[in-house]
Amino acid sequence: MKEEFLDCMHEACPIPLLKALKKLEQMKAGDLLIMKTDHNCSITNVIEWVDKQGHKMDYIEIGKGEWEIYIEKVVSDE
Amino acid sequence: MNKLYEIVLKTPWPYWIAGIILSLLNIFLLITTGSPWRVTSGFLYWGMGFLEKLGYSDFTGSYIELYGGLTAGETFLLNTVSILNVAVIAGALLSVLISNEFKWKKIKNAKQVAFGITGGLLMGYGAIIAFGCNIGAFFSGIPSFSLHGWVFGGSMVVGGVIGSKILMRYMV
Amino acid sequence: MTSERIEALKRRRKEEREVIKSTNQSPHAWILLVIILMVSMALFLNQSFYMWIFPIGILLGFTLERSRFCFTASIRNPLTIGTTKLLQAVILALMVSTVFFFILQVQTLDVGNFQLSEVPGNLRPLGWNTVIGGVLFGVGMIIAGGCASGTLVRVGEGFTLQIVVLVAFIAGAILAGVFHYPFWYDLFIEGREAIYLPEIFGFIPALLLQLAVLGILYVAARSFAKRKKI
Repeated sequence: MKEEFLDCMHEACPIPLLKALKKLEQMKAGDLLIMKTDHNCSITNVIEWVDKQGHKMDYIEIGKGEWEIYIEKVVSDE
Repeated sequence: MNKLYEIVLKTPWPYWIAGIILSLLNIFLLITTGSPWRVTSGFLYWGMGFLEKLGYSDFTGSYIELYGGLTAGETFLLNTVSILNVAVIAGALLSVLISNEFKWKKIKNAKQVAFGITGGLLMGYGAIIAFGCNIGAFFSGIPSFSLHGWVFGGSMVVGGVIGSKILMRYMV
Repeated sequence: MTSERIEALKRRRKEEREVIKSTNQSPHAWILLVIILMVSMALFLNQSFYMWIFPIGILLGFTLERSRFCFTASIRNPLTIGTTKLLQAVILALMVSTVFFFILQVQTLDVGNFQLSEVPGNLRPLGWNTVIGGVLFGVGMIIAGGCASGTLVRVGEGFTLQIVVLVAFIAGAILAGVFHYPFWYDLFIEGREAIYLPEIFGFIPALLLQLAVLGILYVAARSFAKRKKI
């Protein structure tokens, strides 16, 4: 059970999501990914993509216009 | 009250609701002003106003001379499209302030700037020669039943495919 | 969808970082609102129909920001990550607008006998310039990370980068619209007119055709998202 951290501060859409996508590929089921971003569109994008993939996620606002997104990798058996 | 604030002014609205609101605003704009939502010509007016300030005012053969758009009494700075553009910026700022999320966002590196400038130039150039941007030609052109809207939309998607390739290769 | 472990992680991160109590920005919002009302009044005194434009623009910007609606992402997301919710919303918005524009056009025009210049809406000439411009615009919006409206919204959100993009956008527009326009005009645009679909197909068929095409695109987008696993 590893925990990965991805700093996406000051990155424009869609770079944060694409970085997360790469990172998640290398991770194992059950690993957690923490993403830090100040780009609000990234959150909605990540939510839609993560939902589709079946991973678990949530996010909190850690400061004015700054968020942390938490993703738990889930691998379906199909 | 707190919960209502969370739902209406904090959590993002669903895309489809926003889409319908934008359509309604667009038709309302067409009814009240006689012209649907446009963006790029406003940028051109600003640019030309700036050129005029620099002392350059030979606009023979320019887009504005041929296709105009300014009604009597309007200037490069004060006209329908420019006002609309300022209003869109102000509306976005209002929204961020209400949801308590405003922050000056810094530039990360020179690469971002280089891609930003290139992209901006391409958009400005493309939008002018095609008679409109994603708003004027696409979002207002297609509902106007003008075929150029459809062709612009299709070409924009082709450009999107090329742009995405560049993005995946050089920017991630 | 959250999970127990994510909830635990949230609690832990909150303790570790002691989430910064952000200062309340609503006073700024009130000040801005007052300024907006004053500007609307000033514009109204200048020319009466200006009064409408400013509030409508405010609502446009507000809606775009509030929903994170983004034309760039609507095209980019299907291509890069296989999600289409935004694209579907854009197509839906086009269908709704199509119906409203149609009603307005039919009411305004003498259907049997009208000039193109009388049609309410954005009717513009079609030619190779549309294709070239569209492709350039498509590439530009993806690499700049925002379209025309998106750039404006980002400026309002406080992105320094988008201020740079906006300046470049204006520069590009001047280059094409002032300095290079005679070239493009002579090459593709001169003598061309807008192609107005109801003139070719008739009013009702044009409406039905356009709604059908948009409907097909909507269904195609939805099934594309279901099939595509990235």
